[in-house]
Amino acid sequence: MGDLERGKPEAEAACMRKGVRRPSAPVALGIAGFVLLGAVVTGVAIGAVPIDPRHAALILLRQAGLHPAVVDWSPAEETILLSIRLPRVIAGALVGAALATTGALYQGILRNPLADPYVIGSSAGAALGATIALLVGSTVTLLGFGLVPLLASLGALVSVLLVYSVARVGGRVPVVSLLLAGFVAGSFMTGVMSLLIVLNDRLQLRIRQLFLWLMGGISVSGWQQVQVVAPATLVVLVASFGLARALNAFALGEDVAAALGISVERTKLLVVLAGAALTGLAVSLSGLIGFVGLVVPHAVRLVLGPDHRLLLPATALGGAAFLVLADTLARTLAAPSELPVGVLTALTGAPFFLVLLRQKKREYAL
Amino acid sequence: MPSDARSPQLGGARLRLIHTGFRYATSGFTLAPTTLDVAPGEMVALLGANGAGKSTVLRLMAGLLMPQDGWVELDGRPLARMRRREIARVLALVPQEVSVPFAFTVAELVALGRTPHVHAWRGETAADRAAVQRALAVTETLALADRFYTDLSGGERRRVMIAMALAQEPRLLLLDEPTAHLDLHYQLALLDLLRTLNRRGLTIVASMHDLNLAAMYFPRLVLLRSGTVIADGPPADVLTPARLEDAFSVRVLVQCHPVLDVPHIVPLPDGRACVPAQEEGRERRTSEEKEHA
Repeated sequence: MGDLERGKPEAEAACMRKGVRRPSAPVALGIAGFVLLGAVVTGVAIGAVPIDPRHAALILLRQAGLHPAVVDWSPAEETILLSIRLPRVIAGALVGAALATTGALYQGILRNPLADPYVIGSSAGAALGATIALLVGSTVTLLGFGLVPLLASLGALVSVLLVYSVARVGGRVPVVSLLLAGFVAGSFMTGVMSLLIVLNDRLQLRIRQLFLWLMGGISVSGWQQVQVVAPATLVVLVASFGLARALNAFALGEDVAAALGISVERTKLLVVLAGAALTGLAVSLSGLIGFVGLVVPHAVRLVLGPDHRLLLPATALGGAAFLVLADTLARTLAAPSELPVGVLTALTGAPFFLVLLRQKKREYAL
Repeated sequence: MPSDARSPQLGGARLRLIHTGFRYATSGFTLAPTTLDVAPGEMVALLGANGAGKSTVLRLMAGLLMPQDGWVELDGRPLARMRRREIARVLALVPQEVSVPFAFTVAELVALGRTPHVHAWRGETAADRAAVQRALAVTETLALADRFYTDLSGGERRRVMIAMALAQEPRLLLLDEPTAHLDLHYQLALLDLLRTLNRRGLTIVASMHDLNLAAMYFPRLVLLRSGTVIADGPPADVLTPARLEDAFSVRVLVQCHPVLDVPHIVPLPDGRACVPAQEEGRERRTSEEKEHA
């Protein structure tokens, strides 16, 4: 092999670019963490009653037991911040982290950069669940959740598991079958949803409510829902980070992944379970928020590279920060009325993504 | 040969197909029960027409397919009873074409070869990094380490994939048509590398399309025809006109390689058996000639 470099590479040397240098993982995660903290402080400071960002930061620090108590803010500020805005902001962070991470997981396992959290049927399942909940119109609540988030969560979970089991042939789940089954199941459930809307008068009266939910609004009224969703989301997120190495191997295809010692089918099942759980948790706090799950993993990959060991946690932090900021805009742009945050994620995410893609187009194998 | 004597070589692994048969449910292609013993340190080429079963045999050997008849043994242990991770610590696979949908650098990809050795939650150790460096050095891909895989030429990509497999520190290397789509220079360079690795003890099994290259580099050839092994042995025994016509349905002339002591195959177009007279000056010993003169 000693003479491999002879003769051949001259032509290639011309187009050879300088070596790639990746940012170090601790630095990248540190920066992402700070961005998220900044987003949270911004999110709690901005609103109908503006709060001095310094006050906001101090209130948060004191709450975390980190700051000596020099209280120079009004109790009203503290109440608004802690019991109204903070749960909302935390909810946004959880939803953003869950959706972005699910996107990264699905893109990795499907080897398809266009996959998003809804690609295997969860959006249609969640939408159908929400529709049925509005149709029933019951005021039942469980752990602070209304019927809409409950059934939406259930719909997302059940549809993904259904799609997975339909796509399963002889102990294997081919990726193409998974995508096709997801598409077909999604179309079917959307059909059922449309049918329900057309045939039911009561539902037509609530069509605006359904539409706003589908556009992706965050609906959190206090700490109760967040207290339930936060630990579950964090556990699934951290557990999913353990799949990073397997996902890296998946980038080379299933055969190579298997040859590298990865249990291919087990990994797929775990990814689908984690994705279904995260999507289900996300739709328990919000409607269908698009774009976060597609764009954030891409953006992070462009900046930090495709290694899932860094990509997954950085995507979680980035998705959280992105959605907190988007939701802050959604609350304030057209105040006193609120825009669905899904509209904002599309309006801000798309141009941002296009700029990134244009800048780094050559380095990106789409 | 790069001077890298520190490379640990535990000696090659033994791989045995024992009455191993496989049938694809969809296409109906059947590999007849096959018994094949690849001894430690052997270098074996699988030959045969498209669809003869070369890839099936490789996939059975790698444990990617589970046989319906018989079994496959790696160092005396049935593959079916080993975990994927255990298998991956002994055996590495270099597929024909690997497309990577994301922008991994060469160093990142080669480091993936350490997957079976590294715990999911722990980082790479110094030993892991050393194995990656050795693999890059042996395959002369160190200079490519910080470039994107997607930017590389076909020959460079193949070398990177071999580097990844070597980072796995396998004792058995399986390659699916390692020379396909490479120019002559890269074909020889790659086979030279494989021979060097083999001489250090690594067991190698590769499917090959180029019969002449196979004859030059592989001491043992296994010829398949529609799912059945029809010949197994040194090149001179396997590459006979009758067997090649049987396997490929083409007429060939088998000559002696002008420099090396191996057979050299000349395919004849359209069933033509005779050679033009002006080439008669050179000495040729072929059974084909005797038959059709």
